[in-house]
Amino acid sequence: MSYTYLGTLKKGITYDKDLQSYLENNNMKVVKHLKSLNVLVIQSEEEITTEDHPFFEALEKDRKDFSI
Amino acid sequence: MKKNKKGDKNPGRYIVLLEKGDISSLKKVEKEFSVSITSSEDLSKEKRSFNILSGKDSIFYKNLNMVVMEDIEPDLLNKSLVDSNSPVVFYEKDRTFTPVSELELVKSIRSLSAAMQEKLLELEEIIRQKAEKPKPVVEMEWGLKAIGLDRTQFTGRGIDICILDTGFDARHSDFSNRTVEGKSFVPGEAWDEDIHGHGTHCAGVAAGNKRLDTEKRYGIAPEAGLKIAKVLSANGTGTTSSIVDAIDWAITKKYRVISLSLGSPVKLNERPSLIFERAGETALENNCLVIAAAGNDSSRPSMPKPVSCPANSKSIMSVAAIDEQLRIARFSNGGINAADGGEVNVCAPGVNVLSCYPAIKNNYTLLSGTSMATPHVSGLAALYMEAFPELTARQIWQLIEENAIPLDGLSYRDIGNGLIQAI
Repeated sequence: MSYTYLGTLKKGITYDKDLQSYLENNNMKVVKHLKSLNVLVIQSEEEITTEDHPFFEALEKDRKDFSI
Repeated sequence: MKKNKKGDKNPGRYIVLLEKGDISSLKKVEKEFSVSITSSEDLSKEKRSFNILSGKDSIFYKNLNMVVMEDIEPDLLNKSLVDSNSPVVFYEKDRTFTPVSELELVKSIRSLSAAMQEKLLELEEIIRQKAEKPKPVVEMEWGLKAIGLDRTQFTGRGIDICILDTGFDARHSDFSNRTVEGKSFVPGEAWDEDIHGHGTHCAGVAAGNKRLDTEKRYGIAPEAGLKIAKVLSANGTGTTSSIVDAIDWAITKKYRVISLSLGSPVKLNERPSLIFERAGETALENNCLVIAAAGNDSSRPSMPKPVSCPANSKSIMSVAAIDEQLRIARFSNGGINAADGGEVNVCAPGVNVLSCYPAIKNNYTLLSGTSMATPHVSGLAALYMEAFPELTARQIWQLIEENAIPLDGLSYRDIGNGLIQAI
């Protein structure tokens, strides 16, 4: 099963090649980097937490229940 | 008798008023001023007043208790005024009276009257022009009147409002002369189409103007730049990732207001999303104000529900809805989870709100929801930003809250600082 997360990078952490490699090595695919917010949209095969990846300030599953 | 004086420092002819006109007083005057006094009773053809005065003598007018004295030092007169033993109580320098020319007087009146005539003609012209060009009375929807839009001179000029919603019907005739830009964050759906209609309605309230058919105004900031981000699909639903992506885009584009007439219900005591907190905070740091609907999950009065996500973020302005009677809308969420954010900041009209709607759906419709209240605040924020270009988005937020008016019988929990008011 695949999950989509939004990960808020901690202040001072930038999304670069090293971080990209780290995420790929941990079965996470970066769908998009929202530069002004410093947020990554990630797809992961398993559930992930900030404890496992402490450079994230927050990791939230993509909610699909927004409506008018 | 209290003594008074009136005169100058130069010697000359003076009229001196005495307290009494008896012999003793006259003697004193003669002594004080070293003059010889002749009574007016002694004047005759041979002894005329000017003969006496030119001889430096004085004349006493018995009935008036006055002495006319020639070539007197005013200092001497002043001294006698303060001397309680002196009979002098007042003096005045002889004046020269010239006869008024009747002709000059008539000329002067004629000149003044001509000037007055000219002014009256100008005034008449001004009044006539006013009568010919009465200030047009613009009919407005109830929500616009409730927020005092009839008082404002601002139109949102130069301020970009970005509506994150179901898209926008770019073919709507009310926007035929407007340049609207946008981007879709929903795969396979164009931003300039709005099958649902909700986005078009919200955009109309925030940045529309008036109906082409009735001329009745329904939009708040008709000269604002209208930007569209389609984040909700044609069935009216969307995801965090598309909404946050659109906020990131709007910040990059330097839009000043982001309007979110959308939400996801939260549970009691549920904490706000850190993603949206980051989004709102980053927007504020970039001089952009994010405004979101408090949500429509309540069933008042018995079942008020907490403010939805993302309006429950501290850095996002939360909007509740009221009806035309200025009562809280039965569906409007409240500040139930206010401990971690989640409070209502202001309220705005959100029941039976008329706005534009896609052409295929009859062009206009009435909708209700905090979704409708939100673009009232977004349009208003554009007016404030136009009025106060030196203020930051955070200061604009504060000013909108400060100017909001509390409503009778409604609590802070339900309407925050109250009903927004135009600047």
